[in-house]
Amino acid sequence: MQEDFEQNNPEDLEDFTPDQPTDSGGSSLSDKGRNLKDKAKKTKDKAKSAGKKTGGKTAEKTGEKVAEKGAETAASGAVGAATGGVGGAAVKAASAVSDAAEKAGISKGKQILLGCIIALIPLVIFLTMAIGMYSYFSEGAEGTGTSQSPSSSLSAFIERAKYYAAHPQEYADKYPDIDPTDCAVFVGNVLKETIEPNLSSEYYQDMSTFLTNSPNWEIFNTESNTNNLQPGDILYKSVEDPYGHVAIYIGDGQVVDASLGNHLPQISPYWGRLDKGGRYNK
Amino acid sequence: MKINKKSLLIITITVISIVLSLVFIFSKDLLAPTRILIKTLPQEATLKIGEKGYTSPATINLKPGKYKIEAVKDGYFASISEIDVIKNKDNNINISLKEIPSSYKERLSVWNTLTDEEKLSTRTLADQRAEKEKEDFLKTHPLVQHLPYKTLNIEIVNYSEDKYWVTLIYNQSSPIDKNSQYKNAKEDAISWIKSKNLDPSTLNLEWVYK
Repeated sequence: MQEDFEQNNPEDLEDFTPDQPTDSGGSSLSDKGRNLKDKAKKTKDKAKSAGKKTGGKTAEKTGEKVAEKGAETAASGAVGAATGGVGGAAVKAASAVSDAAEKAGISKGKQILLGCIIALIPLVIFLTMAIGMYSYFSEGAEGTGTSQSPSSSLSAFIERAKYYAAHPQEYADKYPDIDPTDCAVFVGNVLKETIEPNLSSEYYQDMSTFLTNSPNWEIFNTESNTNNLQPGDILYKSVEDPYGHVAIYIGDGQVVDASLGNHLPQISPYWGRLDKGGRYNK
Repeated sequence: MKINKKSLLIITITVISIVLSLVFIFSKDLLAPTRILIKTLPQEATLKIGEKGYTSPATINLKPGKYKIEAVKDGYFASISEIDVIKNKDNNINISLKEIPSSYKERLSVWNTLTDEEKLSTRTLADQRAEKEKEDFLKTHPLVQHLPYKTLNIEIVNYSEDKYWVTLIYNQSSPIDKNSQYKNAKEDAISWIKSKNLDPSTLNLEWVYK
């Protein structure tokens, strides 16, 4: 717990509070709370050094980052109010415990320590939630992190294809036992990672059989007309099927494809020569 | 008869020299390249032996040993065969390529008879063909490599049906009248195409008013 002193110390809390319009105890610090703040300030250096000794540097830095993030958010209003609420409640609880401890005849030093620990509990909970939300939304902004769980939507399929086109080496590293330039295996892997988790690898080199037999897909003629194509369509050449080239249409006249012996997954302009398509109908 | 040490040394050296000469002569003959003739049906298939490429029929010199010959030709499934080149033996090779049937079912049935290596080789050839098509398309449609191009008033997204579809976008909230907006957008589009060192008059532009 000691390493949390720095990230949650009441001095930092003040940075959160000025713009907070509502709060259940955090809008005005009680005198006891202020005393606690002073005491906490005195113990700050102690806690800091203790935190460092116990590997608290990372937590300290994380705390600072979260505090910065929290301060920015507080300026915009909403989360700031919640922070203030939690901060105020924490300080109130800490001061109450401190009072009780004083009555029980516990020494001053122990009172401060106890007060700080009690004050930290809700703050740790809040910060954990804040870090969780931060990481969730930052992943969402990138849209295609590999740590995301597979989505059942077609957009996940398209985004995963685009992601591998942007990070081809990551794709190659993820599948070390296959040729990462294999177009059909690439489409099969992206399907399996997203909307077709049960896709058997035997279909990787015969995509049309899979697309034809699966109730989730419909076969159509592209007629070399990209205006008729929809993002997520799987395009292939019927006269070469099952051994020919296959690509994923991602919209705006572009496809993502790998090419055996030629290149890893990449975005290319669609050249209009793949006359058949499979369209997801879910 | 008494043989002195000097004579013994000379005899020994002579014998060793003869033996070494014979070994050298015979081994050279044994390891000498053997001429082999590789024919394919149909002809003019691309042959690959090791890192070297040939066109069938091809007469090539190979040292004795085992080799893998890959034969590929458009319209045919790839064939991969192993040969054991042996000295003083008829090493002529005939490779018969399987034609790719037009019907999917027949194609699939032949496909399933191929070895994994032959499948891979056939698919590699198909992907090379696709890359070539892509390359040719970009050469003949040079604007495509700059697409999609999107601004507030223009969208040039793709090439389809032998046309570049140029969408001019009308902004209702703008104080500028519709016709002037379209005119400006068109000029912007032409200007952008010119900035790519392309002559708009040589491109088949389809104007879409939105």
